[in-house]
Amino acid sequence: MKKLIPCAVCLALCACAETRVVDLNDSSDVARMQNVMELEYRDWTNTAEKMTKSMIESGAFKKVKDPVIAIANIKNDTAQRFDTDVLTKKIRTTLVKSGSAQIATNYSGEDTTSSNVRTLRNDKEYDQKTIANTGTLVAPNMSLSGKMLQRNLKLQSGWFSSVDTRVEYYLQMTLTDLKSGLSVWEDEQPIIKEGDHAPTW
Amino acid sequence: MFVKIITLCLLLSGCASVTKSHLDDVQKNFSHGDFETVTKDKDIKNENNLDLLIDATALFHENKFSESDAAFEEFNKRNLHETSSSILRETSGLLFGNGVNSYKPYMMDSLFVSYYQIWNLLALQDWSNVRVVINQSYNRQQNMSIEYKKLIEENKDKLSKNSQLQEILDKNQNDWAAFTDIMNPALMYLSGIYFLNDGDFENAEIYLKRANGMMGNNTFIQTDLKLAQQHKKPKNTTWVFYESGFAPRLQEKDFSFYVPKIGLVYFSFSEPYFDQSTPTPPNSQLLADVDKMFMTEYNEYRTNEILRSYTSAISKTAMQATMYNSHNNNASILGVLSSVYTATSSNTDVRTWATLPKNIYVQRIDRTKQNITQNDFIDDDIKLKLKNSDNNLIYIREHNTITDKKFINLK
Repeated sequence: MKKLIPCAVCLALCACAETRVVDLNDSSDVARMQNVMELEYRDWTNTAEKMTKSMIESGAFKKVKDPVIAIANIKNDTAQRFDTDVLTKKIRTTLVKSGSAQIATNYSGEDTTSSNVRTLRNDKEYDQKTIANTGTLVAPNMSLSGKMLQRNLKLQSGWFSSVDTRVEYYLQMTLTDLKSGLSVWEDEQPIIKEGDHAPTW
Repeated sequence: MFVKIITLCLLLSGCASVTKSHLDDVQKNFSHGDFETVTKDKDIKNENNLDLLIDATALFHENKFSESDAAFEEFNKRNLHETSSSILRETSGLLFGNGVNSYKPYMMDSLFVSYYQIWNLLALQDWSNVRVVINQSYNRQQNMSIEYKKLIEENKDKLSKNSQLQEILDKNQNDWAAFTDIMNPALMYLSGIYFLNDGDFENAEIYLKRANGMMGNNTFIQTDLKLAQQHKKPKNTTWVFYESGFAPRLQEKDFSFYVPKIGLVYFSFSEPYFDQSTPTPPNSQLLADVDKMFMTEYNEYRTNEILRSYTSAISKTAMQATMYNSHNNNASILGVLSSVYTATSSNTDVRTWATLPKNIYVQRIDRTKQNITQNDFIDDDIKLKLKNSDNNLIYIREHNTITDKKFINLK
């Protein structure tokens, strides 16, 4: 019996350390994910969804013929390092899938293959008929820019509460008509979290 | 059991001197530009806190910017709540001396981590993350100022209950009364320059105002602050940051006094010593006095350390006396062991980030008005880089035998 107890404790501890893969297709499983003060999967997904919905429903794309968007600078003004593509990729995927707009990948230098392939003109190794003609690249007529802000606020915390900080994140986005230089859509989505210690790295 | 205690005591007895010799070696390697010896065969993940900082700095001087940044990030992850303390840490400090605990960074250290991370990211032209690190440093400073105020209040309260200690401290602290700063003006100015060149005049003004508040006599900061207020970007400007000398180090200092019913109590604490003064480079102005920054913070830490050593020394002396006077058959052996334990575990912590500079100077050169090539630091390489550059930063670290120079184009 005495030997069994430590074994049982070990097994229980092993069970605690088990890795859990979150089933992203199961909304209840996603909801069970531990909450963190940093920006995480659910924040990116929810914010991108809200932003895209707001953008499409605003009718901004109807104001420009054949909208082609250049993804401009999305400024990370938080205290966390992340690639802003986490957010923009979700937004542009939805836009392209919905047929609302197209994305200019060559203009922003994201994929320069369209330019590189044009340097092969007059290269005898290549069938010149397969190389794009001059004047075929499409320039963007809209640009999407934005900023992610973070504010940390100290809260009053009691003896039995570890909640001492509120972190407010704000994602601001703007869609600009490049012909007029005027903004045709703007929105801000806040994400507010309260907990112990603000993320500072 | 006795063997175990003696082994532990022997291990602990070398702490302060081993640390001193290690840091002497590191400074020697840095002085000779031998950074490779410092970082060779090191696994960042397994390094202790202090060596991690030293390695990260050495990697920066080796121009391994990504690796240096990764090492600083590892430090940041480990020291997420650098201003907090734990009961376990305090207890082990009391029992075995603070040398057994992992290196607890000074608040100043974390600001220097941000400072070097910004240099790394600027060298990597990673503009986006420079902004993130500046935001991190701002949060750190907010936390630091809150914790620092708390620490001062706590120490005042504790010391008021011990007049004998207060006397020792007052005598020593009078010499350091001039040290009042705690924040890092070099970090502030570098951040201000980044925002100014990014065209973010609002943030530039905030950071330059702070730098100006800390270094009121620095006219270069004032020039940039004026530009930020006028929403104007500088043109054809070079900022040269010079680092020289080494930051203060610590050495062990012993004290003794008589406590009624217990006897003579011996205790030790750390005492700072300073590197030789370095001359101001031509046409430059002082940007950060690291001795001053260190001492401002150390004054408060030191109070804590003395209180800890004092409590620990009294309890150990009392234990020693009890062992000798016990009626146990092994009383004399126990007494000897407790004496060895007392002597060895009273070791003080002399660890500091010893590769930090003593002073940081800055020179601002408006190349439309001044001929930059007259400066000593201009070599053919920098001359070439300046040809196609508008605004730029030059980082210079003076060591005994070598000078580390870095040229960074600003966008």
